[in-house]
Amino acid sequence: MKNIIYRTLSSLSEKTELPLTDICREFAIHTTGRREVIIEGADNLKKYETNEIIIGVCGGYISVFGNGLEIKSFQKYSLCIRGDINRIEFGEGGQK
Amino acid sequence: MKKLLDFFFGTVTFEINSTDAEKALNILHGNMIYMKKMPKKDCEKFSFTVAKSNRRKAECLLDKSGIKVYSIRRRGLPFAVMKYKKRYGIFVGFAIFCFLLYLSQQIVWEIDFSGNENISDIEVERQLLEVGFGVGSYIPNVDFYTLSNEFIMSSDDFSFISVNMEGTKAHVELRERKKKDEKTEYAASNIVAKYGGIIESMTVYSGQTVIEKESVVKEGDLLVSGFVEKTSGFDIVRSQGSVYAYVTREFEVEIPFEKNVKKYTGKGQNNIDLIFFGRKFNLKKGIDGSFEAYDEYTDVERLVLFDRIKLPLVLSKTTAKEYEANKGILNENEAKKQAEKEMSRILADELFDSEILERKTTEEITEKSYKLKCSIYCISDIACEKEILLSQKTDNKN
Repeated sequence: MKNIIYRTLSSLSEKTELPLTDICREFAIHTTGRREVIIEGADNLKKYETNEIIIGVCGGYISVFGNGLEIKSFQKYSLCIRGDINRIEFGEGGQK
Repeated sequence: MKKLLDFFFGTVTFEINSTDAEKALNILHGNMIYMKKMPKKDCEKFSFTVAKSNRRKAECLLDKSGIKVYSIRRRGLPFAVMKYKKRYGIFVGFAIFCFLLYLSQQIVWEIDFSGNENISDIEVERQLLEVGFGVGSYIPNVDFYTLSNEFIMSSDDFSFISVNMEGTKAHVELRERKKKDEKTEYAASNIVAKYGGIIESMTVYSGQTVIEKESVVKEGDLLVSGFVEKTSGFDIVRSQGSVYAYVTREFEVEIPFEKNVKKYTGKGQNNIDLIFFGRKFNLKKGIDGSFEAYDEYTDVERLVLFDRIKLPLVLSKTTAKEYEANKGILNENEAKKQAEKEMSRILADELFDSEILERKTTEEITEKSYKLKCSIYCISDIACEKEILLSQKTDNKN
């Protein structure tokens, strides 16, 4: 249900060219090289391992793979991951 | 910066089971408790840090959700202060330290002088102390405008003073008073001879010369007249100039063999005062006025810590040394030396602008004294200005 709402709002945002970031809480990823990732719009933490971290976001989840991964801070809507990052994957739906 | 803030506000680190890590983080995050420093170790324990203000809430939430907390570490200033809560001395000492630090910034620690060329810094400092400003003065109590005015009025040496504070250092800028020539200026005057002699040369700027070169004059003779003849009548002017003549001047110095000599008895008394905050605090009062005759000396010393740090404290030590006035007898050699010394001083004063051509010295020894006579044949300026007194003539009309 949440996914359907998210897709509807995203397509509406594209067509109207209006930012709907606040309503649908779309996530944003900022990376600094391959050592730091800041994910804005993080809802919850699904998995936390040193080689894989899965974060739940609006409309899906984000998987971060690497070595020595560590969550530096988990604030209101942002989460900071540091370590040796190999790849970032996006997934739709609920839990993986 | 973050570390500094964490230290000042305090943080709490929880240690839980690794398997409960995701659950605990989600619960806390869902209740708006934000976490940092969450290293995931490949072992049984997982730790995370929250702000001190969220400690109780976090503990409560973890307890309710059944997550076991293995240990809690408290870090930061608030916890350190609580540890020494009952040690009042530390807080009192810290408060006193802060107070002294604040107070030390309110007093003058050092004074720097500029603009005084002929007057020493010590003398200026003494004059400033007399008007109530010096090392140790309390800065908020000093009215710099009034201080400047009082200093100028009381000092004969300076015409301008400005005191600027740079923190606890005072910069004093001064201008020395230019002393006016003490010679009186007359409206009209003649030049007469100070001594008798033979005129060698003349340089006359104003007035009418009445003598010539190689004229013989005696003391009081007119050399340059203030009455200057014109085609119709005459002018009355102030005569100015120099008249050099060959003169013979006699000097005599007499030194009695018997003189009063101070003999110090060795007894002394001291007063010690501490000058701080512009006030004198008496530490020791030893001078009681019991000596019949004594000399008093005052030494002022600035206190220095470890030979480097100058404190805003001045120690003033006044010493009274008792002496007895005795009759001392000088022998001939001693009297002669004194006479020669005195004669040299007199000659230096009197003949500083004269050219000495010949000098004859004679000595005379009597029962009571030693006399040294000196006859100097020299070329000297004998011009002496004498005022012409002018009076108004009133017409009495019948």
